[in-house]
Amino acid sequence: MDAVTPPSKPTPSAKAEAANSPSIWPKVSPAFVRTVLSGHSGLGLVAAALIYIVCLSGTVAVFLNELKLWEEPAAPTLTHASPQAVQTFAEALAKAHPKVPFIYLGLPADDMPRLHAYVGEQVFVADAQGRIVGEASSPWVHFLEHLHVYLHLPETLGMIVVGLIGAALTGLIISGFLAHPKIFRDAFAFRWAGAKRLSQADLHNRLSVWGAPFHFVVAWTGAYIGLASLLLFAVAGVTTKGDIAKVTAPIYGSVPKADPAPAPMPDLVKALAWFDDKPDLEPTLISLTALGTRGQMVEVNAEMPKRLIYAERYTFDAQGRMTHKLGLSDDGLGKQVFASSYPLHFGSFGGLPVKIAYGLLGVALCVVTSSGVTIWLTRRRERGRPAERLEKAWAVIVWGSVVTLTLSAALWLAFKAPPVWVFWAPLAVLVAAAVAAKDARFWIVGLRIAASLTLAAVVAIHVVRFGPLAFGGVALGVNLTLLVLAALIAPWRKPIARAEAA
Amino acid sequence: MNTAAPPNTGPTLLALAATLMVAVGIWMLWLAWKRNPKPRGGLIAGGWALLVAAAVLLAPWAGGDRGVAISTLLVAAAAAVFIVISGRWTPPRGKKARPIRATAGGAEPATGPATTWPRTLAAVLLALPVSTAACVAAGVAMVVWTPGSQAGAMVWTCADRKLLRTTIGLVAITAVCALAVVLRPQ
Repeated sequence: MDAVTPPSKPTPSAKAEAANSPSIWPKVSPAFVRTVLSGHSGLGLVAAALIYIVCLSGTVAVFLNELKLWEEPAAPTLTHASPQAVQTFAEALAKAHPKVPFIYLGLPADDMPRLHAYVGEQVFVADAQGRIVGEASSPWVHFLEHLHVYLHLPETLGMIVVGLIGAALTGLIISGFLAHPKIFRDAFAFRWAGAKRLSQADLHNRLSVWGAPFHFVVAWTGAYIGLASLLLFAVAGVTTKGDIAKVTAPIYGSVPKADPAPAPMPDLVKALAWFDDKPDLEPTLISLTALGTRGQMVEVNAEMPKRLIYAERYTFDAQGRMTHKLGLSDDGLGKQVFASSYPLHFGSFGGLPVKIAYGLLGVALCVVTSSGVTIWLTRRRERGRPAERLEKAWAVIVWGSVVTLTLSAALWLAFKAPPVWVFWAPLAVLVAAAVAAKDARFWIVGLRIAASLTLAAVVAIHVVRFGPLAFGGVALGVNLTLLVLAALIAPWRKPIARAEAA
Repeated sequence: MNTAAPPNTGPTLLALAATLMVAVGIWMLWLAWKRNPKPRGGLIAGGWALLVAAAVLLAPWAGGDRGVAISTLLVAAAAAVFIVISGRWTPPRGKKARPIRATAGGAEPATGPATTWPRTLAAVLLALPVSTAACVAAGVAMVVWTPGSQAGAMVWTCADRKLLRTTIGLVAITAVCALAVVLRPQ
């Protein structure tokens, strides 16, 4: 038996253990494992609830574009926008919003087949001729995005808090491996029908091992993206006398000096024509700064289909001549790693199959977070120190957040109820109620039924509100997925009569 | 005469071969797990070699860096299939209940020393503000010495329970990095 396994509890399968050949992994000292493990449990509990909510919202947010199309199914879709339509759209936006410093034009892409523009907090959509046909700001998706990125805190603070959560998650992933020296030796063992702690431990460990590269990359890039702002302030303070724009210039490009004197609109048709003979570059986003002034700037992000980086960025002058390439694709490893961190975090580097894989691995990360705490609570109960209130509170965090997240979508679609309140307020009430009454099983079963019903209700409300549009394209895919989730979450089967020991 | 170039099926075939190699590689690792305690070094080495080769083979179809990322996702998917196949989903009954190849106790870690709430609070304080300061200092030091790079880590604090050791380490990192910032080439 490995030195770190408690010797006090011989089990029926101890013979099988004795028959195992020695681990090929290096031995770790028991004292080190104990030290690391204690840190793993203590910090894990403090941060678990926030980690879980960030993971849950992040898993849903993998499908952000699909959800935007689902939330606003009536807006026109295009598979291709002509350069002339892009020019017309930009001119119409500049005319309607002359004071806006930045306009971002999104060109039709596979997962967002719309010619659209971000103007402040609003999103406008154009038809094939480039005429503005309406707004499609998807407020519920915006809420979801803010939940994941800021936890609805003020933006700078929220991003730092979420970055710290990413760092804590990275720490948990690494300390988890250090504290479980045998985790690789049992890489395929899965005993769902064992004792509760065993089944939870197998679930936790199997998902951890095989999801590790994904979990680590997502947690690390999350920490990196979240804490970048903090680091930026510090670096700017030391190197550029607080000039943040100067620090970010190598990765975000330089902003030209403002010159409000009027100038003709830039020639976007010519700028887009520059990409015509470059099949490895697909323009996806046009950033327009101070449009219609002499200080205006046109930048075009072009995706490179065979690269992990989110895009290469090209700057054009008002006449549509390419003047500068940022170099995210080939100018040093640092820039390439930076530009790759976003697609790696969001799962946007391989179309729908990669997004589905990210969705499933995201669910795995939620399960790992949930089962990690459940194992700790079960172990505590087995030692004769049950923490019943904590068990109930954790059950409500895990399933209640699924319920209130779904409820926020249902009530937004039905009554335009503010999703931030609909998510957090009932969740807080549920936690308080659970601590005061009933047992953990009651809350788990009850909330799974509630989650299932709410998911089905979201689909029903969507159908009532949008009619035939709910049965077409991406909206149909999302609605069917929600119904499948409703069926999977419902507690159909009685829990397995588990043995006390495996 | 048709002058259109024939579609280039080479990269697609390589991608299919890579997918097959991932499946076979994971199958070999699964066999190694099943056959323990019999000799299994060849299976483990072969399985990993196939996984690495698959990542390389994906490059012409998916790109180098992107190919590695996609290959890693394929590995997770293939492993999930084998875990489901060999998992024990219902309670074992009678003589049919063959023992599953696993470590007793679910490969659980040993229990650590008892903790108290002041220690937990101290650990959280170390994990958040103190290690943030250290990682920001390290990041600034890296940026001023090697322009264009950024880095930061608070992983150690989350993993280590010796609070004094962690504190000394973090303060030392902060001090060294602050010195590096002060001494940077102007």
